[in-house]
Amino acid sequence: MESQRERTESSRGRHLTDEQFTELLLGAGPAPVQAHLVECAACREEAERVSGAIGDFAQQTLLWAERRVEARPVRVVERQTAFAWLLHPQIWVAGALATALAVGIGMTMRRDHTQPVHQTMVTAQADAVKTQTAKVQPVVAKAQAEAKTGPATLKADNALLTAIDGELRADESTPASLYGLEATSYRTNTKTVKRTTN
Amino acid sequence: MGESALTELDDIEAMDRAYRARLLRYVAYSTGDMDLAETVVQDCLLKAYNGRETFRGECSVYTWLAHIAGNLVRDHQRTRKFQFWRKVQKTGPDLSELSGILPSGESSPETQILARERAQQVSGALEGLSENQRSIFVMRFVDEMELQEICQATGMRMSTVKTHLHRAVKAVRLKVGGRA
Repeated sequence: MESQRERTESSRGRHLTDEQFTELLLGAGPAPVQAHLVECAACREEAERVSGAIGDFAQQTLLWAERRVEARPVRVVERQTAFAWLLHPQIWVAGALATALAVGIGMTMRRDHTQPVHQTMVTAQADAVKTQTAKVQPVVAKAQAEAKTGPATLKADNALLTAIDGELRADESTPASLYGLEATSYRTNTKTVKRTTN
Repeated sequence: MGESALTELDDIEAMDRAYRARLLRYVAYSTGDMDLAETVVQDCLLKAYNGRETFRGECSVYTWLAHIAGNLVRDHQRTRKFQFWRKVQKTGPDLSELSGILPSGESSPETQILARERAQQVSGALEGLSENQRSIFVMRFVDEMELQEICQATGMRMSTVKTHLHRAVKAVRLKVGGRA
């Protein structure tokens, strides 16, 4: 009812409301609105101005968009999935060739290097034994030479060892020695080390 | 799906020729962001082509494309990256670029200048609107889509579409008509 009254008032003296104006632009203006337009030059002129401006806007923006598209031609590329490359036969052929090449190279290198490696290891071991033997021989000879020294040397060595043994025993702490008891008996109970020659 | 729509969607280059400019205009003037529009339109056409089997023919191809473009715009705007760069640089469409290509055979230079001024007034009025209002205004008055098609493209109810449209027309009327 209120809407009807509003429309009637509009057609009698007031200008078109925003709702009526929107309906008019949408092409669905009811009879009272059309009647008002016939009577009201201001509303008619305003409707033509707004409608014309929107038409100008539509035309110019379309021209703008078309020019923009022409200025920037876009190469259309179809979106591919992550594994789409698997569908190319060239990939499979290249993969097979690469695998065959890798296997061939591997086999060749194995055949070329298996025997020489063993030979090299044996040779190296023999060389190492020779080197060690050469190093050990002078030491053994020197030891043998020293072993052939006279009885005087042996006697002196025994005396030195005895003295050392005595010093070591004197340093040993026992509960008795801590309190000054039996110190003498410990010192007298030393042994003499004797070395024999081969 | 209709036979013609099937053929149309199967040829992405034909689809590009037929709809690219319209989509670019729609997205550019809905968002006010030229760079975003270029990206969205490209993605939209590719997405439509890749998903053409899902088109059921319940609406026109352009309505379907506008729906996809709208979703893509929302997706882009959700990302933080977009929000950041939007603050840094926003390249809106510039109608002054049209000064050299207006059709000259049908009207005088004075009429062309007046037409460009009126179009710029509409463009200026749209700048003050929300994105939904701009988008729906462009769909209805620039792309000349029916209200039902706008509902399909945006997923909005008819009453919501009409409300947005009414507010947009009010702003344009105020700017161009001089009385609201």
